[in-house]
Amino acid sequence: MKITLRQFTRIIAACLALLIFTHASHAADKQKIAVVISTLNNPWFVVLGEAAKARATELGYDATVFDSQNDTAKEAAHFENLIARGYKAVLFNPTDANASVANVKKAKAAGVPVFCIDREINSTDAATAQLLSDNYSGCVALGQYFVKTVGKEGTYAELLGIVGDNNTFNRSKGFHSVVDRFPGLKMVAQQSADFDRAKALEVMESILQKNPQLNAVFCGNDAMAMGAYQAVLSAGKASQVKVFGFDGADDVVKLIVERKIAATGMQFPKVMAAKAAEFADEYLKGKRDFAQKVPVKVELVTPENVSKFGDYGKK
Amino acid sequence: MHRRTPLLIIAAVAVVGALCWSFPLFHIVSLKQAQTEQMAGVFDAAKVASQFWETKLLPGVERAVEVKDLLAALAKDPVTAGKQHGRTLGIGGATMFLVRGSGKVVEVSDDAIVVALDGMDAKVSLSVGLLFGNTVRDASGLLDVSTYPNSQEFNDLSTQLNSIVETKLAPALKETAAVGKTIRFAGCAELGEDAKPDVLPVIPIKVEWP
Repeated sequence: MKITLRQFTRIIAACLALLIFTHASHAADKQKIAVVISTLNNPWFVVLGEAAKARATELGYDATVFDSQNDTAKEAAHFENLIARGYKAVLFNPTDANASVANVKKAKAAGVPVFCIDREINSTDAATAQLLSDNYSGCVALGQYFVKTVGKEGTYAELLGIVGDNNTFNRSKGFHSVVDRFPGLKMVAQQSADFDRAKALEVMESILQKNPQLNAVFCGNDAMAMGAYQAVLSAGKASQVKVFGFDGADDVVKLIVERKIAATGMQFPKVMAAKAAEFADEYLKGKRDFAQKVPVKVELVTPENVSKFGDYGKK
Repeated sequence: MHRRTPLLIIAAVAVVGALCWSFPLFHIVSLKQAQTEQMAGVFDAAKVASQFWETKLLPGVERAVEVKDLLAALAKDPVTAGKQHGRTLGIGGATMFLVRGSGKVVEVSDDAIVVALDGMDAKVSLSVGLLFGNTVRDASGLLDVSTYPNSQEFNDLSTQLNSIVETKLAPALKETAAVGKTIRFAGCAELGEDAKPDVLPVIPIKVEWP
C-alpha cells in the first residue's frame, strides 16, 4: 500500500498523541499523597519526610513534601492547597499540638485521611492514626543512664524544645521522673532553645558563663545537643560537661562513637514514616479500623552499644 | 446649650445602660468559682491513677498468668509466650506481663525482695526501690493509649502509678518481709527483646503473707 508523506506524518502524529495521552492519563491515575513536615531545617525531619515520600512512591503514589517552616499559618496554607488540589491522604508532622488540630479537621471534613508522624495533635478524633515515638520511656532510659554516668551529685542544665510540641514535655518529664529522685543532682538552668541548633549554641554559652562548674546538659533533641556541644567545646569544657541529646541523628551518633557526646535516644523516623505511608495505602484500599495512637519504641544509644545504630535507625 | 440636650444625654445613657444590662460586656464571679471552673478541665493524674488502681488493676489480678507457667513458656519459646501471655504497646516496645505467684523469701534488701518460687527452681525479684517507666501502667493492658488526646497525661499516669507502689505498697512490704516467710504476690513484669533474666524482676501490686 502506498501512502503519501502527509498521510504518514498524520499517522505518526496520531500515534504520538495517543502515546502522550495514555502516559498522561496513566500518570493521572496515580493518587497523590502529601507529606507535610514541620520544618526541613532540621536533618532529622528531612529524613522523616524523605522516608515517607519514598515509601508512598514505592506503594504507587505520587508523593510531594511540603515544608511548614515551623509556622502554623504556613501549615494551614499547605492544607488548603492540598485539599483543593485533590490530594488523597496526608502524612503529617504537626507544628503545634493544639493549633494543628484545625488543619487536620479540615482535611477530615474534606474526606482526606491524615496520619500524624512523630508529633501528636491534642485530639483523638481528627487524625485517622498517629505514629508517635514513646519519648517518655526513651527519656526514662536516658535519665537512668544520666545518673549512672554523671553520678548522684552534680549540677546540670536542661535545654527544652518547642513548648507547643507535646514531645518537649514528654521528654522532659521522662527525664525528670528519674533524675529528680536524686536530690544531689541539681538543675541550675532550664531554658527553651526551640529544638534549634543555633539557638542552643547561644543559650548554652550564656548558661556556661553563669555556671562555670556545670557537669552536664540534657538537650531535648540532637540539633540542640550539637549546638550545646559546640558551646561546651568553645569554652574549653568538653571534658567537664557531659552532653546528652535525643533523636538519634547521624551527627550525634558519630560523636557518641568518639565519646564526645554521652548518649541519645534513637527514634526510628524511617520506621514511623514508612508505617504512616502503609497506613495511608491501607486506608485508600478500604481499611478503616486503625488504632488512634501507635507508640513506637525509642532506644538508648550509648558508647557501649552505638555500633548497633546508624543512618537514623538500627543497622 | 440647647434646652433638650440634657434630656437627650439622659435618654442616651438610659439606652446604653439598658443594652449593657441585657447584653453584659463582662460578668463578675467570685475568685473561688473561677478557680473551680479552671480546674474542672485539668487532668488529675493522681486521682485517675488511684481509681484505675482500685477499680481496674487490682481486680485484674484474677486474670494474671501464674509466673511459673510464664517462665516455663518463655524457656520453650519466648515469642509465643509473649504473644500468649503478654502485651506490647505499639511498635518495638517491650512485652509486659501481669503475673502472680507464691514462694518463700530468700533475700531482703532496700531495692528488692527475692522470692524462690514454689514448685520450680526459679526466683523472682519484687522491686521495692525507686520505680521508673511504664510497666505498672501497661502490663494489664487495661488502659487504652488511644483515649488520651495528650500523651503527657498518659505518661503522668505512669509517674503516679509508680508512686502508689513506692509509697503505699513497698514500705509495708519491706517491713514485713523476712527470709523464710511464705509470700503470695501479684505484679507487673517487663521483658525487652532478647531479655533472658536469671531472676524475673516484678513490680509488686498486691502481696499477702499466708
